[in-house]
Amino acid sequence: MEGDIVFGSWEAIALIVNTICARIFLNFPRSMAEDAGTAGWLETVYFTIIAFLFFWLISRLYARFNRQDLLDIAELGGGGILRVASGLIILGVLLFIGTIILREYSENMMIIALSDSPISFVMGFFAVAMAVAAYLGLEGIVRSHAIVVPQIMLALLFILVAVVPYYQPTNLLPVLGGGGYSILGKGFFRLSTYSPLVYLFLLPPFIKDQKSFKTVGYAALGISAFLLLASVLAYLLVYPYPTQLEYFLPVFQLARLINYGRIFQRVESLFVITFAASAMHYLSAILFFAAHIFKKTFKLTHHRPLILPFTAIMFTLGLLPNNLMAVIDLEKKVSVRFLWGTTFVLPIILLLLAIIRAAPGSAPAGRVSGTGGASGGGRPAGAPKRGGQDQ
Amino acid sequence: MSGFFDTLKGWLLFTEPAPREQFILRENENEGDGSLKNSQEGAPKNKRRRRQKGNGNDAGTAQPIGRRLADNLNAVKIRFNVPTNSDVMIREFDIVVGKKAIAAFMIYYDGMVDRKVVNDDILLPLMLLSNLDVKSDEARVPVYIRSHLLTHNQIKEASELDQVVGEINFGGVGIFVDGMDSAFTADVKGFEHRSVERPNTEMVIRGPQEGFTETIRVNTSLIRKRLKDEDLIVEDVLVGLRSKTPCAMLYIRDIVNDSLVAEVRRRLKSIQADYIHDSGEIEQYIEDSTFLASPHMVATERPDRVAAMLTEGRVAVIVHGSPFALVMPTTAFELVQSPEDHYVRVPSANLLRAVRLLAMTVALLLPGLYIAITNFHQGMLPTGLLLSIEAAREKVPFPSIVEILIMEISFELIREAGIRIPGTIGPTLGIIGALILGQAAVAASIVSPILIIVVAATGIGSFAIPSFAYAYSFRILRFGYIILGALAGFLGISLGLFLHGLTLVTSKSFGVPFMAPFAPRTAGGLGDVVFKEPIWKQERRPDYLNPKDEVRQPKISRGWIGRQNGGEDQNGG
Amino acid sequence: MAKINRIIAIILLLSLCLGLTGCYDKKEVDDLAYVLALGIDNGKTNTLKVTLQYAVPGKLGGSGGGGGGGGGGSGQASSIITVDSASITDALSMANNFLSRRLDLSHTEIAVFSEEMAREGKISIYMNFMNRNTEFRPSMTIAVSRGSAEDYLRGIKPVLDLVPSKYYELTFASYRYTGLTVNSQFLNFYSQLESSSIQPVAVLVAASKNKASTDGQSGGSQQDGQAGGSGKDDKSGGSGKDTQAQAPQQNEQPGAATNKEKGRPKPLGGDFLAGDIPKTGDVASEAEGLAVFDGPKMVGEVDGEGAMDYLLATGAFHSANISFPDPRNKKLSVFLTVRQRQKPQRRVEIAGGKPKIHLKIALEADITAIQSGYNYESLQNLPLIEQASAAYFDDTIQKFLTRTTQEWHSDICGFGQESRGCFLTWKDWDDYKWLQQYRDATFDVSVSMDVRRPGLMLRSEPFTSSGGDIRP
Repeated sequence: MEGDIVFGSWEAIALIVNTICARIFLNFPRSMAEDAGTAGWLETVYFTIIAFLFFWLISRLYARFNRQDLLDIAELGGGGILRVASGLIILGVLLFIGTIILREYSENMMIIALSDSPISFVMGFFAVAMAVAAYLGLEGIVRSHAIVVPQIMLALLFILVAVVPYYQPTNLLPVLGGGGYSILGKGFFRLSTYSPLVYLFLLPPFIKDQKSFKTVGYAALGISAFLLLASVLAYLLVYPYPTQLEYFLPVFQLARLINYGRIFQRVESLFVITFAASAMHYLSAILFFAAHIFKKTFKLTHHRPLILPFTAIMFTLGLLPNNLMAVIDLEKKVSVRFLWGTTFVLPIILLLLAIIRAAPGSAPAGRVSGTGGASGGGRPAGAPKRGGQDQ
Repeated sequence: MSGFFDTLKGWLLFTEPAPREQFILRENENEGDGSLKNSQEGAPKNKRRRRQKGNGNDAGTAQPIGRRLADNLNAVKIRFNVPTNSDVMIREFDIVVGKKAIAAFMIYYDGMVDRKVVNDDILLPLMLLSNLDVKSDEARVPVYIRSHLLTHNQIKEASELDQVVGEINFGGVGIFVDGMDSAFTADVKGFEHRSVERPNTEMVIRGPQEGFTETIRVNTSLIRKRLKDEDLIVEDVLVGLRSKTPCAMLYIRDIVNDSLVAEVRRRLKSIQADYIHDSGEIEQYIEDSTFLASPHMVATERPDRVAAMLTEGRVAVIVHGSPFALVMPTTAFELVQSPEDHYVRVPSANLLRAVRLLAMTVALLLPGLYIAITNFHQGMLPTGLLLSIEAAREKVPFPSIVEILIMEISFELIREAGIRIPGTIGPTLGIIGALILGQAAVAASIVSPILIIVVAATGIGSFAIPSFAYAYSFRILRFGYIILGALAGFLGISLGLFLHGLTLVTSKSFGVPFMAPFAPRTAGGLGDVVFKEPIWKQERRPDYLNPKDEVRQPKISRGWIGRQNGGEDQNGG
Repeated sequence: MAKINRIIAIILLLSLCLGLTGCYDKKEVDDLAYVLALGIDNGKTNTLKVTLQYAVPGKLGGSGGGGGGGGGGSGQASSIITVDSASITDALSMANNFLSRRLDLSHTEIAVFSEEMAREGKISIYMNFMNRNTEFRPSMTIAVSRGSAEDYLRGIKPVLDLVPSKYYELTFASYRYTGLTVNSQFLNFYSQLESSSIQPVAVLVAASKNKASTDGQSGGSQQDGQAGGSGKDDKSGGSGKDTQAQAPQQNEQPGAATNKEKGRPKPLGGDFLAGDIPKTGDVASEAEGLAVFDGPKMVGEVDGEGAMDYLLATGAFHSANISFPDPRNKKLSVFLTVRQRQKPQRRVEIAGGKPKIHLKIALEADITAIQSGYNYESLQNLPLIEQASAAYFDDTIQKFLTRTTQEWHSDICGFGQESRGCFLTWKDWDDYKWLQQYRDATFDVSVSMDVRRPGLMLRSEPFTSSGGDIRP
């Protein structure tokens, strides 16, 4: 059934932007401050540029393949074994991130709003949301993204703009903050912030053609780079250096400050809605893709029966870490260090393998891209012209 | 109960879903080559010229009336899609003039003309009175017929088919006589006026004030009267195995997407019910999802609204015996629009839209938010407001969730009773509702006055939604939000919004995604979706309908603007 | 068919959820008591003496028909309790042993610490709790009370506002038009405590010492009127409050003003510290001036005028009425309403290891009054008052800044923020140890003043009498 779904660029952009920018609501601005102090924004600029370079490279390599995702390419490059291997890697990453994030979101929710509830109760809300969404399928998830993500981003921008009276430009001094190594060295690993770009490499069967693949990639990178940078800047501008390290929910801290007159204040509870909306969309995307990849790796026909077990696994594993600090530490250690590899290096390796394997005979690549093109061309001629009308 | 356990089992275990083809509204594939291959009438219709709407100057393409009656008959039949279009009446007869019998036919829309006038003033003189000995030496047949035989008071002679068609579309009758290269048209308008009244459920201040009645022909003629377009097809379908209720599918042939028409026709014809009484029943038979709270099609009492939606490329279904026409497909955003939006100027229309958005939010979320804020997020209220809420609740013995449920349910009671109550004792209900439930409940400290405000605002909000069926859905879902808000505050509300949104974006109305054009984001502007652009800017029909003719008006639809600019340029040069 | 079952299943599961989970965090509005103000003193029997002022909404009389205190007499919509306890949380728990409703801190407008605690440097111990807890608002005011915080809170009997929260909100926003206090929000106070480039200040508050109008001190003409109608109050609580309040007071007399040190014959509005304002009336508490901190330790206090200098130097100044001696007749004054024309230009250069601070302040003003009636409005004479007022500000700000370096060794104006621009990385800057170097800082202050509008009068004409013009 998924094979029939084709959605427009905007939906794909919204999906990726949300998965990247969900970090903003967690701890991204703080981790920038932690790395480079007052120069956290420079670090953001730095690794954003690297991410653009990587994506440029990948999209060049991808140009030969039409409507094929990473697993198809792995199969081209190394047959079934490589497909299963890379599928399992990505699946592992997704489940790990999903579990950590599920726990982290719930913990944060408890801290900011529901301090007396048990963690399983709060996690249950997120689990129900993601399971239902994944059950309804990718179509519903991306469409919901298309509507809600702009609102989430507007709400985020509203928070950032509403605290302008608290901006203190001197908080950005000294310019280089933690110094060269902290920006360039640590900053490189922060490339993992853009790791959700891996969804883009799983999306090609659902988006129309190679051109929109590039459009989606660059637009998603651009929009999220803007939001990441804006949030880091706002956070650094409002909270001076040592204090900015203390809060692990930076945007929430910003929202707490909003204070216009005696009536319009303490709107941070509205942040809960934004936060939860972003979290639910993010988690549902993760769960769906986990099930989807499992299906694709082992060439199953349906993904739906996988959703309940995966939810149960994520829920149970999510309860394992002892405390919030452990979760944050785990995320920092594992996801920051290694995720950039699965997002940027793994695709490059797979693409290169596929190109090399295909190149000597030139038959497989030609054939494959030919069939891809043919299947794309088999759609109604008007398809590329239409925006997101599902065909 | 076993079915219930089966359902639970079905959730935990997996069964292969039966492959079921989904209807998806695709673009017309034949759009490119300009011929209408899949028009069901067959080959001769292929040559039918696609009319260019909006360019008034089509003298070069005007179709003259030929001398041969058979040709004319054929041409007229093509123009009016005669076998499909069931309310077109063609009467063939002979005029006997002197020794000659001249073949002739006349054409009109049933229901649009006054039959008595047609019979007495047109058919009678032509068929019978022509044999009378008329003192005249006029030899030319047309002049003879015109000056001696047609006794009707308004007769025009037209030499082009378009003129005749125009007259017929507006309740005239066209008379074609063999051997004449022109036709007579007689104005015999006679649609029903008597029973047409103001629409009761969709009042507007600015705009037409007539509503549908229970008679299908009156209703079709009310639309026909607005859309003077022979491409407006009124296709009859009989629904109900026993009742054989006449239903009419209306669409504008060269605008609407063919597959949409086919799908509506398929769904209508597949209904196997024995009796159908109202369009509400038809709606339930043909809607996409039974359990989605919001309706999937517009039910309206207003011919002008149906007409406007037909011109966008939708299909309307009129059921005999129901004053509500169904228009499909629709989207969540159209259900919030009122016909008045199109008739008032842009600033006022947008104010109305904004108010309605607010009304929707209030009707859906306010009680839930109230519960969430007062029970979970007391911090976000300004201290003064918080303290007044607390002071108001001081003597109320119930928890606020019980309090709000009591009030919401009694409000639903008042509303339901208000509809059923006979008109003469209507004011009593107002007294009971306002005094007993409002005043006394507060005085007795059963509920707090602030809560009355919340419930009242919710009620007013739901009445401000133009589509009654849509407002119903909000009334239902409101309780879900109350419960979720009481469960986990804003987190619960967020979950509710998320799931609500998912059900909305995954549902479809006749192949059109319900949240189009936002999700999926379709090409083309958002001119009239949430807020309204100036009417001259709405150049394209909604893209998600995939109409045959996408352009509604040219880029510059206000001719005088262009001319003025030209003049300025010349002055400047 | 199956769908119906599905609906039933969903409803059953939902109700199951409801039944099993309950609503853990659900707290009714009227299950809570909202703490509006928090006072923290050193305790007698325990570490702390915590004073909690909480709202009593029943007294608001909002609940419609029946009850409600219609009369103005008993309409105190708040109540105060004091608990001796080991910590703030302890105090809350203890208070809940005798208060029916759970105390909630989400509407706390102000936290008052006693001067004694502040001077001992114990404030920071409790700041951690406030920063960690989601209930506290970042915009909560942090104040230091001369004398005990309890007395300050008990002295507040707002007559204009039903609920004290509004009193706090408005009182601590009054610096916007008086310039005599500051807006020391918790957010700023806390981050300045941690910062190595700026030191915190807090609003100085106190229970009024002057129950009745003081004798020899009557300053401006306004006080003269009140001096006559004195003596009738003291009904609220004479129980040794004066003696308590006097204890930490170093000045020779209650109600001492700082005008003598500044060489001013009579005190102006800015020449008082909180608690010293000569006044009578129902409200027995006041706020004026600043408490200066060096890290967590309070090292000094500043009067209202100093607070204005602080506002001007940091750019938080909005508007204020000021008076300065008439350039042509030193006995009389010229009154201006001063606004900030633009944010002050602050620049720090480090010359020879010592910081040199450049501060350019641009002000504009409207003429409020010219007591002498001299025609300063004319374009020729305008520079006279412009220069005089600029010089006045120049002088006071210079003196104030010198006090920060010499007397308190505390960079409360945060010039360290600008000085960071002189360094590339945080480590370089840290090594410079700004807060120590600040003692040796020198200042270059320049104030420019533009008088914009003369009020309704464009020209002052002398009053005449039979003896001719009267020019005082």
